[in-house]
Amino acid sequence: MNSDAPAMAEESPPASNPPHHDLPRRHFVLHVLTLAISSIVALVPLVTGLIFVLDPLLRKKKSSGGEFVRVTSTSAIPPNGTPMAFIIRADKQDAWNKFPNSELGSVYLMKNEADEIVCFNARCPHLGCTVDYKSGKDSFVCPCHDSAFKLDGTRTNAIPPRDMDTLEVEVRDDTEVWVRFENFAAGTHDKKPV
Amino acid sequence: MNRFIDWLDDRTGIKNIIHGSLFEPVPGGARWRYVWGSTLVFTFFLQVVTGICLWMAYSPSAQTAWESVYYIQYEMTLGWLIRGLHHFAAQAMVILLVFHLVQVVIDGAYKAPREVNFWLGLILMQIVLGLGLTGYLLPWDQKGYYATQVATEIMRAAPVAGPYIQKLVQGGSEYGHHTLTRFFALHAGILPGLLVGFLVLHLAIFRRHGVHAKDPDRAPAAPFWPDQVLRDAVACLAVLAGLLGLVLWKGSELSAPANPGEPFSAARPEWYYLFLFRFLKFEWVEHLGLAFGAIYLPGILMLILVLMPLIAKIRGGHAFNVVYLWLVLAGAGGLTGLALYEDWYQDDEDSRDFRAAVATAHRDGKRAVALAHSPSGIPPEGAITLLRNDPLTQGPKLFRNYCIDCHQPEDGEFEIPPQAPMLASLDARGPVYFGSRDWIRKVLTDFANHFAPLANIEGERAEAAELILEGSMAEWSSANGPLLNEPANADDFEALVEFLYAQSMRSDASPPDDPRVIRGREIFETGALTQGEFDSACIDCHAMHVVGEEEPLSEDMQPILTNYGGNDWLRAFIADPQSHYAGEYGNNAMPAFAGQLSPHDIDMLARWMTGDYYLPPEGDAATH
Repeated sequence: MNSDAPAMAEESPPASNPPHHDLPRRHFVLHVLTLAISSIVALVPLVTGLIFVLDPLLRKKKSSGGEFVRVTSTSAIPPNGTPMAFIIRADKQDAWNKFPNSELGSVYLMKNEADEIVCFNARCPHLGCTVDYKSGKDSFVCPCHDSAFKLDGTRTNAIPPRDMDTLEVEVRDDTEVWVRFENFAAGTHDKKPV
Repeated sequence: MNRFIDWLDDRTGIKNIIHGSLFEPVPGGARWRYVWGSTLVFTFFLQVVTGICLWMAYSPSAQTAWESVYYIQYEMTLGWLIRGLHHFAAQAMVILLVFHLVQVVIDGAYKAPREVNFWLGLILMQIVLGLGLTGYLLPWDQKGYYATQVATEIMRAAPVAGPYIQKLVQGGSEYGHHTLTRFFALHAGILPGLLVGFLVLHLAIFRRHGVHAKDPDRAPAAPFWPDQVLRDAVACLAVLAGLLGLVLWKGSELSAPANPGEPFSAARPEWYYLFLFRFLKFEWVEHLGLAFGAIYLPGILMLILVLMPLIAKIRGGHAFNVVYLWLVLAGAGGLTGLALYEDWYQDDEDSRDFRAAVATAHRDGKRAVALAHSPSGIPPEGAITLLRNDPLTQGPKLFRNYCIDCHQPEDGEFEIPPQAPMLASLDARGPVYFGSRDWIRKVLTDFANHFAPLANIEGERAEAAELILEGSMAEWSSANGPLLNEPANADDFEALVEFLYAQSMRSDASPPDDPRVIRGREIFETGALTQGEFDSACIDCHAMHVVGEEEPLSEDMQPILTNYGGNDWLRAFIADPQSHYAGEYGNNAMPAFAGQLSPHDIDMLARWMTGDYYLPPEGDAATH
């Protein structure tokens, strides 16, 4: 099982051991054969195991985000532009389990100056903590590393690598607010879905 | 490279260690009979590798164990191969242990000065058996659950401490989350740790004494490398090839999720415990008590094995040991053979029941996997709910328990005659006869024959049965049936049947706008056929409210045909046929089941009969 041992054995034959065979050719073939079979026997389980452990990298991603989710009604969003936090709920597949209507994350919904509804993912683009809304300062501040953003989502310091992540919003039937919920990779300059 | 090795050697003495192990002289030269120890080390290595992989994906709790093993087996990359190797290598280890033991005993390798190493080997054997026992439970499937329960009940039979040991091992007085966490800790932590420790001692002492040569003068001594290593490697390769073959050929099974409320008549221990299982079934053993059969006697047999090195000191002791070992193995082999024969080949009731139970277990296991694989997946409450809420699993069972005595299938054997129309065949799993198009045709045109079994009803329901057989529908059928059977009315007949069948809203029914359904509806309302006319239209007697429409075609009449043969109709009918279907003045001979069956049971029965359950698409069956 110790696959590098034979190589060493050949390099430095022991002085104090019984004499080797007189036939160098048979000797060589035997060594190679033994080495080969030992390697196969050891590598088959190791490689199989490695592939199994790499499963998360090998499997096709089953997208759990990226779909529109009904979040609230238009009347729940303050008309004066104050952000409100909402929890996103949708079916979630976690390995073998399917969790219906489970909490996937949270978002801020608010009305902008043009009276359109704007949505931010509450995950900080810096390292993924949940950003707080500070009403006194009229800004979003992350409690972990002080990333700060204006109410329109643009960063006000250099801690986060990008502005807050906007999410697509749709108003359906005039009253229902739907959001296309997605998480994005933290710590990168570009907004990349995870 | 050389400099690094020299550096390392200077600090560790590694060259000597490697040379010592590779160039250990084998007196009498390399031989195939020395390979067993190496194959055991190899299978253990295999178990460690695959075991760590499984560990990364396994979740020990009553609600996640089966589920995570399902996920390993059917969803994860090469999961079936990793689990299959682990499953079969565990069994191979037991076989190789026996080979190793036999070789050691007949070669006399257990004698002085190797006694201690022999005892260490026996300890290793117990650890391996313990690993097999604890591993069998971990998938938390019916098979492992019920087989392991027997083992923990046996623990209880141990003198004095028995009940405490059982409770400790189980993590409580019942099986549950902590049974799994404890078994898992034993299986993946404590026992492998002990195994490694004892294996190191075993190998160290083996090195100290060297190979025990069978006949050292057979050939000149040769170093371990490469001749003996080659033989060992070839033997390991053969073991590996055999295991891979078994994984590809058989695969490791996952039976239905463990369910304490669901009996499992196919329960058997792992095959290497079968001899003990069969032994305990002897009446005289049972008479002597469980502790005798399962603890004392195996203990005594084991004790003799332990004493072998001492027995060998007596004259003829070695011969005794060899004969003893062969006798024990022959006894165990014979009992295993007997158990297998009785289960799989003997033609009596018990054996047939066992085989049927195994078939049912396989079917339930496959069904649970198919449901777990379905789009609705495994709910948070766990996979136990999959079969519990599956009409295809529960329906036939309920049908057999509550319905079949009256609604007898043609392929059954019954002591009393049938008392109601046949609804499904004895082993019906797929579509049932009740409510089918053919059923509707028979009711319309052959009422008397269709309901003839009602004549066998005796007692208080006999009167109602007689009234049905002589009732207005029987008259209608005999008067109008021939009209429907006229060749000129063939399409009309089909249309009427399709309209009635469509009311059930079964998945294979035609939609309401299908021309045949529309035509059938006309006939249902007017009674006018292409050739001739019914003496009374269906709506003259029956209430019918087509689903999705505001206005009923007819109401306040019974029997009600709204959703006839569909889920709602069937649920209401099974619960109380008199009030739902026949009404105050109608005739009904079937008892109400609302008192005997829960709403869930009735739902399962109804949905089974209407075919309202998940079926996997063709070829989607889990492949391994």
